[in-house]
Amino acid sequence: MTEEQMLHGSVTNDAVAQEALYNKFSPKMLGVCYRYAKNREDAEDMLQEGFIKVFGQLHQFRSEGSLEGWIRRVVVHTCINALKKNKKFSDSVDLIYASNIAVREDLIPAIIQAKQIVECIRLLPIGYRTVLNLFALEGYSHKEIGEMLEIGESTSRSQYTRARAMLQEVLIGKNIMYKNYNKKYLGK
Amino acid sequence: MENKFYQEEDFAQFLKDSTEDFKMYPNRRVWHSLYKDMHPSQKWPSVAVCLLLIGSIMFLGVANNNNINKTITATITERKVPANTPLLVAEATIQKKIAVLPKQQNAQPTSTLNTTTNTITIATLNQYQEEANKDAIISEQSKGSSSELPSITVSKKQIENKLSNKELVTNNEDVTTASRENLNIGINKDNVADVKKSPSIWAAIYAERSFMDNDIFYNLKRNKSLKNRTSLFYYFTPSVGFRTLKQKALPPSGTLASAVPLSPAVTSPFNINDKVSQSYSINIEAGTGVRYNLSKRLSVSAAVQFNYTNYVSYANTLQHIESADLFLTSNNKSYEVSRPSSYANTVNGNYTVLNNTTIQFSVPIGAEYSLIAGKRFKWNVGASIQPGIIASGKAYALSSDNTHYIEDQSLFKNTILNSSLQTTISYRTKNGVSIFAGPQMRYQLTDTHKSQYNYSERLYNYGLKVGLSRNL
Repeated sequence: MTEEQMLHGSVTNDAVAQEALYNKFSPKMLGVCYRYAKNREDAEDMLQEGFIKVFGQLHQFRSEGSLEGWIRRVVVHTCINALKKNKKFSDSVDLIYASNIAVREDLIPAIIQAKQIVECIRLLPIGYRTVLNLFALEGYSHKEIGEMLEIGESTSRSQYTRARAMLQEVLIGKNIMYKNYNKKYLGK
Repeated sequence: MENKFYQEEDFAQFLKDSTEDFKMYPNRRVWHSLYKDMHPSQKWPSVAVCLLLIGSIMFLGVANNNNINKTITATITERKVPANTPLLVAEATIQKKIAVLPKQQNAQPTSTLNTTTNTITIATLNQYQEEANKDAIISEQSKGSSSELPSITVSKKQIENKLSNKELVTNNEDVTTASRENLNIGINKDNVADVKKSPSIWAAIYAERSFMDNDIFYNLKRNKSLKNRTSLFYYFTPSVGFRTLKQKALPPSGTLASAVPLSPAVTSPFNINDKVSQSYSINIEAGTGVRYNLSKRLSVSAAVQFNYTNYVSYANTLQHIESADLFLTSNNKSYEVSRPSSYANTVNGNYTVLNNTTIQFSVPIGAEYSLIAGKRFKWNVGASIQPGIIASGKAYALSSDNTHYIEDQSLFKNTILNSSLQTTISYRTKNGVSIFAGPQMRYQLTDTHKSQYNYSERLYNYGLKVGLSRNL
């Protein structure tokens, strides 16, 4: 089933097309949700909520960009809204609170590269992690992040700086970053 | 500073590239919840189950009520009330409140007379009989309500005198209508003299009594006949369940919806039963129903039934979830979809037992024939068709290359059709309860899974049916 067929079928509420669309994009979107969520169960809840919105708003998709990118934006916004409902998340955007949290490197599972990096990101305090996810991985500007999370632009920038430093420390400590970072980006 | 900025962007790009293809496979329950949310109209199976349960409860309630009535009838029958007992039931006939007897203030009056439930009627009549023997006076309870309820004050002597006048009770049919009209006039102690002088009123009373007698005992006979023919039964069938698996025919070539060529395993025919390791498991069936005897040997029945089916497959649990392709056909077009799999279709070392279960509710409709129909022993053979629904279960589907098991409950069909063959021997105890037992085979006539799935699965069971039955 082509993407166009899936799109058309999903808009007309065809269950087969909806399932095909879900099957195609849900694994990657769950990976996105997992970076924001506390655990896998929460990530699946976010994914479900996200796809309800996706199917509900799919008729608004104008085929101007990629379908995956559009779905990703809907899912990310769903994740952010879910996080904002959590009181702990609201507290964690406070830099003082976040900076006092130690990273438990022993929690990093030794499995494949992408999973390792995601797990390293997930070790960060939730406020750091969210800003890092939005800025580095989703490509939002600090201004947009500030509006989304209802924090100041400078706060977003500071959070990201600290998150990046913390994550680099973990990745270097685990010999994950140097290997790729030097080879692929710095040519060392 | 410039170097720092460069590194910042570079770091972000590094993270983005590293995690770009990161995938996780969600649990299928996420899709099920999503599906239910988007298609709420598909909830009818759960509604059907609720209706079935409510129907069963109502049915059992009615059956129990009938049993209570039967007990009362039996008690009254022992008193041997003659069919032509003198009855003063005129007030009952006109469907109004029946009098409370003056000498029987503590007795519970019967509020209305229902000619279809003969037990209460007989109780009422018997009450009158006893009171007549005590030289009772039957009167209407409330003089204040005399405008509504006719009063009757008749002495025992008057009753006996009038009972001896047989001519008055012979022409029942002719006077019934007249009697009702006359009774509406009302009889009380003030006009009893007039009543004595008026044979037509007495004729009306006795004609009405005779009409009641006929009606009551006609209904009694008819109900007795119905009850003798109808029985309630309960049964329980532990069994062993297996399955047969068959590869469906592929749609015509050129109808592949997928651009990717299908796995060779899909396109080349083979016996799928050779590719899987599976075994039987314990199944349970339980139900209750009603049987109606059409003749001495032939009966038909209907029931509500719960089925738990299971068979086991053997597999190895994967260390990490893997992606596997599921071959599906929809609208005569075939395609493969990726699904997460936790089990490999291999049996090495510490293998895992996968229980393929279903919970079903069905309505068996069957017929039974008695090969031997003795007074107490019977040897019956029977068959039934069992339309039903699959309420829940666990399905492990085979991937298109048969290397993985994919857990996917959405493949279950909503409705299912089973059939059964059985032979039982029954023994009727002295208290009227019949105990029956015998082997039963149940075979699933329709597939367990939806038509999209590439394999046709039929379940079958061999069990021992044990149950009780008794007449209503």
